[in-house]
Formats: sequence, structure tokens, C-alpha cells
Amino acid sequence: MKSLNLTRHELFLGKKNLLTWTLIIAGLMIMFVSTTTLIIDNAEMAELIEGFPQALLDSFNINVESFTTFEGWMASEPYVFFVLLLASFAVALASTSISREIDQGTGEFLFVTPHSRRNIFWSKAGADFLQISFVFLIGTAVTFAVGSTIVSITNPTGLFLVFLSAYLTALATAGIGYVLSCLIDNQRTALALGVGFVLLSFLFKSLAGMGGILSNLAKLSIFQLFDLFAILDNHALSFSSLATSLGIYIIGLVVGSEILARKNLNL
Amino acid sequence: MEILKTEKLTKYYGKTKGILDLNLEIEKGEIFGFIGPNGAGKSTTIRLLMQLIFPSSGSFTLFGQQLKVENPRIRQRIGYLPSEINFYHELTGKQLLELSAKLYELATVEIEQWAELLELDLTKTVKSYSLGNRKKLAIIQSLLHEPELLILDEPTSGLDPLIQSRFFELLKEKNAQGMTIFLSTHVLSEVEKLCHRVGIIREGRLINLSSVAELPGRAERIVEVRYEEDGDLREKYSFAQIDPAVRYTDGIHSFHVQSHLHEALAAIAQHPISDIIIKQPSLEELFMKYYGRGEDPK
Repeated sequence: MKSLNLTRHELFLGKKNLLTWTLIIAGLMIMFVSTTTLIIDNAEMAELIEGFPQALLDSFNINVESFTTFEGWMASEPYVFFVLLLASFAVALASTSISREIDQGTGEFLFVTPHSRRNIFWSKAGADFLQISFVFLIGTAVTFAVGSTIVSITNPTGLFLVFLSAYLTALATAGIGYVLSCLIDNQRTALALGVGFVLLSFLFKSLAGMGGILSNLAKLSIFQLFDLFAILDNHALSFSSLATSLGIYIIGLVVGSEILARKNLNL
Repeated sequence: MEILKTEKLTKYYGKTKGILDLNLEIEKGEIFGFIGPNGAGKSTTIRLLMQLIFPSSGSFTLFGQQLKVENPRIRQRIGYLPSEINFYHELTGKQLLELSAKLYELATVEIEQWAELLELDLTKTVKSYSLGNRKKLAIIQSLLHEPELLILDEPTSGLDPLIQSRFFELLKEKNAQGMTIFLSTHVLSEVEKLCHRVGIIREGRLINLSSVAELPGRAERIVEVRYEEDGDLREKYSFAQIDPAVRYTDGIHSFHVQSHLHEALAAIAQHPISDIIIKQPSLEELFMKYYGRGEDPK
């Protein structure tokens, strides 16, 4: 019951932020879905894209052949923006969850209540999980709802799993964010490092098509966890990708919780 | 019954000393004043007691329980008023107190009564509150769950004199009902008004522990005299024999008399006096005199 009160409190404080992110992501997906008829089976577009450098196409998951279906289009550029925004939202929530309390001094109210630090941490993480899940579900639902009014979605399972992979990637970035939040007392620094991690990951992924040592850097990117076109073909997530993303999330939570339980709170 | 006991409690921040070998015992029902200059270690002590930081060495017990690791249940019995008030800006005063009531699992709370007593509008957001109103909100929040031990860190900063007076009355009333109060302050008049005992901390070490009346220099009196004869008369009448540090400011001679007040008064009254005030030095003055420059009071 006590934990529920803390989780409700977090959700109450985060409601404006949640609404903003939901509107941004839903709006972006509506915009992308609305362009479907301009993209699919557009010979001029295919010709134009063929002229782009492969590295650039790889950065945005753009594959000429995938432009023949709604699912293939969604797994390219729209997916990249969806996962980037969702991961940024997740890492922003996680990296500021504890650091904000310490930096703004509200921890002097929260951490002297009869709740253990672990309880506070997990209650906050619970609220974050609900918010990330909400944004993912709305973004996905909007894509399906608007998409189905424009085209026939022939591979709904594959498309849902593609979006689910974005959600799992976002949870993994949240795991990194929790460690940062419990290690760093300054909210802005924790947030900058968290968002920086997401952007650097995206940069590493962009380097995948460059070859040589740069393509090895891409292996470090959290955005390389899932092979989207394999998901669309196989209608399944690979076990190793699933385990890695959830593993990073869970390890981040446990490590963050233990750091918080042991550290001096310099309020 | 002992509410709080510290034994050689020590806290270092890296190589910087927070507090060193602090030994304190506070009994149930006591109002204990903890005084010292800024940076002396008062807030470090309080943060240790509130389990926000952990000791480097030594130990302490609260309500008879030794705290080696975090014990959140103990905090249900403690009210805490920090020196700087930082609440969630977007909440109204009422929402903040309701949240606090939920976190302390209180079935019913008398929020409105408290607000009326301290003249606080609970419909406004924390962001819009002045420093004083935030302090009032924090006072209510610290008392809402009827704690057995109330820890106050610079409680009156930002409060107007009327509310300060009401707050002190409230503390006396709560103390009469059995609440133990640990008051950290550098406003020593607060200690004089409220406390049974006082601990003085300087540079992390407890340098005096006594009742307020037993503080060094409490027998001292300041005699301020305006003579009928104008001007500085210190040399003319050899006032240094009464007090070697006698001062003359704006027509008033100030004598600090340590003992044998009757003899000093007799000497002072050998010359025609137009006005005289005899007063007890404030704790501020005593503190500066005995502890301010690192001198040993003994």
C-alpha cells in the first residue's frame, strides 16, 4: 500500500511530462503513417533512395525493398524516430528519478519518510515502467489505427513485434539511466549523460555501414540489438536480443537500487 | 528513558571532518538545544540521525534500537524539519500534506486546524509560497504524524515574530504531552526560550554539554551606565579596575561583571548616575566570547 502511494505520487508529478511525450510520439507516428501512400511502391522515391550512400540508408533502416509494404516502411525511418524518442523518454525518466530528488532537495522530504530507499527506488521505477509502457502502447495503437484506415496491414504480428523491440530497447536505456541517476547527484549531468548515451548509441549504429573499425563500434550500439527485417520475416523476436535488452534493464534496476541503498545522500 | 544516544559518532566526507567522537544522550521529554556556528557539524549530526548519511565510525541508538543499517520504521516515530525547505513545487500545500499523510499511513489528519493555527493558505502551490510559508508548511508536515521525537534544524528562519511565538508555544505544548525535541540552531535566544539542556558543537566536536543555566558565563552581567557627567570617564575614574575591558559608546559606559556584583555596583555608583541598565548577556554574546575564537571556556 505504501509503495502504491509512492508510485501514484510519481505518476501525478509526471503527468504533464507524460502527456507531452505521448503527444509528440503519437503525432510523429501519425505524420509518418499519413505519408504511407506516397512512399509505398513509389518508383521515383525508390530511384532517389538508391542514390543515397549505404551508410545513410543503414542509419535510418532504409531498405528499398522494404518500401513495398506498410510494415516495411514503418520498420525504416518511422521506427528510427520512434525508438529514438521512446528511448530518450525512458532514459530521461530513469536518469532523473533519484538525481532530481537529491539535486532539488526534495529528497530531504522523501527519504526521511518511513520508506526504505529500496522501496522508494522500486516505486519510482514502477511509475516509470507504467509511463514508458503507456507511451509505447499509444504510439503503437495510433500507428495501427491510422495505418489500417490507409492500407491493409498484412503482417500485424511482425509489425507489433517491431514496435515491441523499440519498447525493449527503451527499457534497456532506462536500465542505464537508473545507474546514472543513483551514481550522480546532479540532475542535469545525469540527464545529459543518459541522453548522450542514447545519441552516441545512435551515432555508433549510423557508422555500421562505414566498414572497418567503425562497423565494430556499431556493435556497441543499443539500437543494434534487434534485426527488424528478421522480425518481420520470422514473426518473432530472437531470444538473445530479448534476453540482452531485458537483462540490461533488470541489471540497471538492481545496481541502481543497491547504489542508492548504500550511498550517502548529500542533500 | 533514553530516546537518543550516540557513542563516538564520527563522520568524514572524504578527508574532511564532519563530526568527531560525538557522545550525546537525550532523554524522553527533553528539549535539547544543539548550537554551534555554521559548518560546526549540526546538520551532519541531524542527517546521520535521519539516516540520510551513514557514520564513518561510532554508533547511535534511537528509541533503544541501534542503527547499523537503514531502519525506515524508526522514522515513523520522528518528525523532521530541515533548515532549507524543498518541496515539490507543483503541489499545493494541501496536496503536499495529503501526500505526507499517505506516506506515513495516517487514517485521519487535521490539516485545516494546523493551517489555521499557522495562518497558511493551503490552496496555493508550493512554488507560490514565500520562504516563511514554506517553513510553515514544513512545520505542519513534520508534526502531522504526531512524532515522539521532533528534530528541528534552524526552525524559525523566515518566520515572522508572531508565528515564531506561536510555534514556540506549540512546541512547549507538544513537549508537555511527552514529545522529545532536538533543536539545532545558531539563534541562541531560541535555546534560552525553550531548551532544558544544551550541547555546543564546534569544528565537529562537542565542546560543552550542560543545562542552559550552567553555560559558562551565565552568571555574568552587563551593566550599562549613563553618568550625569558627559564624556568618556574611563581614565578619569579608573573604571578599568572594575572591568579592564570597559567600553564607552554614545555616552554609555558598559561594564562586564563576572562576579561580586554588589562590589562592582558600589564602585560604579560612586559617581552621579543619570540612567542604569543591568542585563544578562545573550547566549550569542556568551557564545562569541567563550567559543567564538576557539578558546577553551575552562
